[in-house]
Amino acid sequence: MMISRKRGVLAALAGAAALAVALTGCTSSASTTNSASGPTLAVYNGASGAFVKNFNPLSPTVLSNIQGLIYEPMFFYNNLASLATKPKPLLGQSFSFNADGTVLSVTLKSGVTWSDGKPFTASDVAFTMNLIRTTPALNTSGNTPVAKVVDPTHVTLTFAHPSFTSAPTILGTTYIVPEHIWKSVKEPATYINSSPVGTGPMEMSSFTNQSYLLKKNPDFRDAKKLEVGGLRVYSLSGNEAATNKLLAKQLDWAGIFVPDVKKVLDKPNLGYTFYGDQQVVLNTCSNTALGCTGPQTDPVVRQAMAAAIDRNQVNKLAYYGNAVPISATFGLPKRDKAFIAPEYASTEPMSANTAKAESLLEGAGWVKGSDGIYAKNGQKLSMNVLVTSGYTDYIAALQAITQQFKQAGIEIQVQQVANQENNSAAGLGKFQLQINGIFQGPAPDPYYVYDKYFGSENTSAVGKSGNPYANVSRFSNKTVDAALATAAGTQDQAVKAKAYATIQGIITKDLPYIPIIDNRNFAEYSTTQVTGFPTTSNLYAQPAPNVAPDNEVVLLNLKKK
Amino acid sequence: MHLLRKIGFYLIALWAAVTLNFLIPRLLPGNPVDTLIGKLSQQGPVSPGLRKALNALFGTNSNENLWQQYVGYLNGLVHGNFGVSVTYFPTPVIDVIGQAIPWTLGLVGLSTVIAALLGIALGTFAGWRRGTWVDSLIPGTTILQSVPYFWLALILVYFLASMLGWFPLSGGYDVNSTTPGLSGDFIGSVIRYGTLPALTIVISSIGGWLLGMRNMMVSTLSDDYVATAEAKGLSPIRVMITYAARNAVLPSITGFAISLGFVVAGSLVTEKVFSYPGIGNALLDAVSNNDYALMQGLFLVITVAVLAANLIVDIFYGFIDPRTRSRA
Repeated sequence: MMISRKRGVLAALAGAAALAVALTGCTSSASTTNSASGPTLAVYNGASGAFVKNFNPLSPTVLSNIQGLIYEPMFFYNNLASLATKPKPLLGQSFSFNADGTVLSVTLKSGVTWSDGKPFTASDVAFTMNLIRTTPALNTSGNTPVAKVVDPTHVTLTFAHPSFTSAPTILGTTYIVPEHIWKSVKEPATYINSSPVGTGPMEMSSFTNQSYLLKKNPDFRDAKKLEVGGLRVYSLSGNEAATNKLLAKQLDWAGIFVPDVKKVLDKPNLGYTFYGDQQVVLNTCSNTALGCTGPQTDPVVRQAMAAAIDRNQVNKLAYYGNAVPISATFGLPKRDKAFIAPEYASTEPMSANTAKAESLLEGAGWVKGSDGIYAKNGQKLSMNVLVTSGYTDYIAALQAITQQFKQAGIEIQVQQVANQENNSAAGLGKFQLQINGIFQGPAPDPYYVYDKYFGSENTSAVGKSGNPYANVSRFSNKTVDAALATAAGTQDQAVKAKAYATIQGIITKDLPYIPIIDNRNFAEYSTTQVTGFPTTSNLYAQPAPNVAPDNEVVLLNLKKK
Repeated sequence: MHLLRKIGFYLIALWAAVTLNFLIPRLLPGNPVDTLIGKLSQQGPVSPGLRKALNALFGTNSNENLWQQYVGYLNGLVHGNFGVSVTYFPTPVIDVIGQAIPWTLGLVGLSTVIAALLGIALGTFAGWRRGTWVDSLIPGTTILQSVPYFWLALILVYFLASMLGWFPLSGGYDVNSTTPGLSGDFIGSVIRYGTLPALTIVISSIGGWLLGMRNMMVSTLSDDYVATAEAKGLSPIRVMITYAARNAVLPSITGFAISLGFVVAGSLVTEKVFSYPGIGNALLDAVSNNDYALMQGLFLVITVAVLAANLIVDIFYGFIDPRTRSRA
């Protein structure tokens, strides 16, 4: 906890220092070199500490940029466009499901080679899928199909049950490894793969524990289109150090948090792109049937809290005004337009409606006490909120919300705890309220959020160790579960939309997660050497370098200056 | 006998440290799997099956009780096996530590020695010339010491590295032009990159050495034997160094031993500010990722270093100050 707090202070100070650097300007020259094959970009992925070799694309602790740039999946799903956008072919060419969603037939590109010159074929895909399925430690999707080679460019993937919703994970984030090398690997889960052979645009050039260099793969199928010669990946102590480097023009590409980014990066040749969404919410332990206790188990209290938040103020105080309104459906208003029922199309109001909060509470029998806080049956409307210490945006947001709730007669007590403790509380359900983020799924479909955060399957009773990054609110509703099953079993967008409308009708009233605001991620880049990074008006991929396989798509789109 | 007793005492201290080292990380809330999922989910979508896969990968769902784990842990230690780091999975802890320790020993070790030698020398001089302008060194250096270290470090980074460009911003060496090895290029780069962090450590710690030494000097100088030495007509330098300073330095040596032990722990904030690839950074990573094995390995190395430094000074002390062993 002490360390985290220190980090918070450091971050704030470094922010100030960074700002000062920004104001005075810098004379350091770019550290990168131009080679004949194109410029080498300096990249920071947010890593801290020394790098240790792990180039295994199937390992969860693989180093950044190995996935996407050396190893590729079959298709690229743009998580920022609507679901109607077709996935972009990478190693694959096209795919189709059978009617009930159990068999996926994939056509692969022909003429692709591995960086050691051997041809890439369907048997590599089949080998990878079967390897993952038969190794429990690698089977991160839990639903990896049985793969069968039809001919060198065709493969069929057979699932145990209808799996339309697994396609983005299987096709979009399963990195294909070469059979001729991996078939002799005995322990694929702990294999560090020190000389990686992939199909992607880059290959490993040199590695030390403070930096590694990727250089252009001359055998890459689109090598002619690739204008970047290499990538130099740095290990820095954190965002403060990275911001200093960015301002000194010693970094070309990063995906880090920069406080007050609009001011700090307002320099020639530096840019940033807002993308992606972290929907900030108050998790509530909402379900008494699964063991939750406290005033927040009453849906009316949750509705009152949602009404009492002054989101404009939160945005200003915690997010430098960069956040955007949030939808209580947790769909993204622009991207998921087809999936948000018209009656829930408006986002949560940005200003507080204290009168509404009070009338809701009074309608449910709460009576304001002499201290200005409501009470019912001797129970005061007072709750604990957990927040990870050092998460300065959440802490600032809660400071504002505490005051706003007080206006509406609701009391919250903010408790800062270490991240591990916060996680543990979320997993066990031992909390009343908790500020946290809801993250989108592998494809632009609200299904993933609904399934993960609202599905009964992804929750557990209070006291039992559940997944702290899934349904921590203990929300459980048979109608929602049935609608989820319907949505999962179809590719028809109209059927999906209907199922989602049912879910939205329930969750926008029940509010197990109280929507606060939509905090956007952003990535930073320097246009000193190359241009063509995704911009807010052209989000062809997530712009951060550590998001794979988006990084490959961005890299291929960059143009030498 | 004196020596054996000392060694026996240190062995018991070591066992206690090793046991605490086993217990403390297990009392922390949370587990490495969830921490890793948290990190991954910030980078991109994670599927619900990931948790199960990670449990299988790290073997975190084993049914071993605490006692079995303890026996396994001791057995591993005897064989030099500290386990596998979760943060840097699948790298063994010993490799992670081995990678980090030379950096820390070099930077923090050298700057601690420089700060102590410089502080003691200046302190001797300040004690000898007490009451003159030299006394102004004391408030000067103690103010520098009382300024919060990270603030001082950031200010120096801002002026010397960012504005004037005399020093590099961060890192252990120039990763673009050199690779680690025994080349002049690499060593020069390490020295260039290490100077500013070392400077911040020296500036911020010299005050303590100076003040301690100066005060001991002042009290030693009022002793009769110093007056006798002066009366014998010995040269002032000889009186200052071999009569007064020799006795006055004893507490500083104890302090130095303790700080030498802590050198291994690294200077967490220094390494953080300068992105220096040492033990401090590794420790921070281990704690924030609930990486028990790495934490245990690091704590063990630190404890052993502190104990060893103390043991050596304890033994050494018996020679430089015979009074401490007179009772044995």
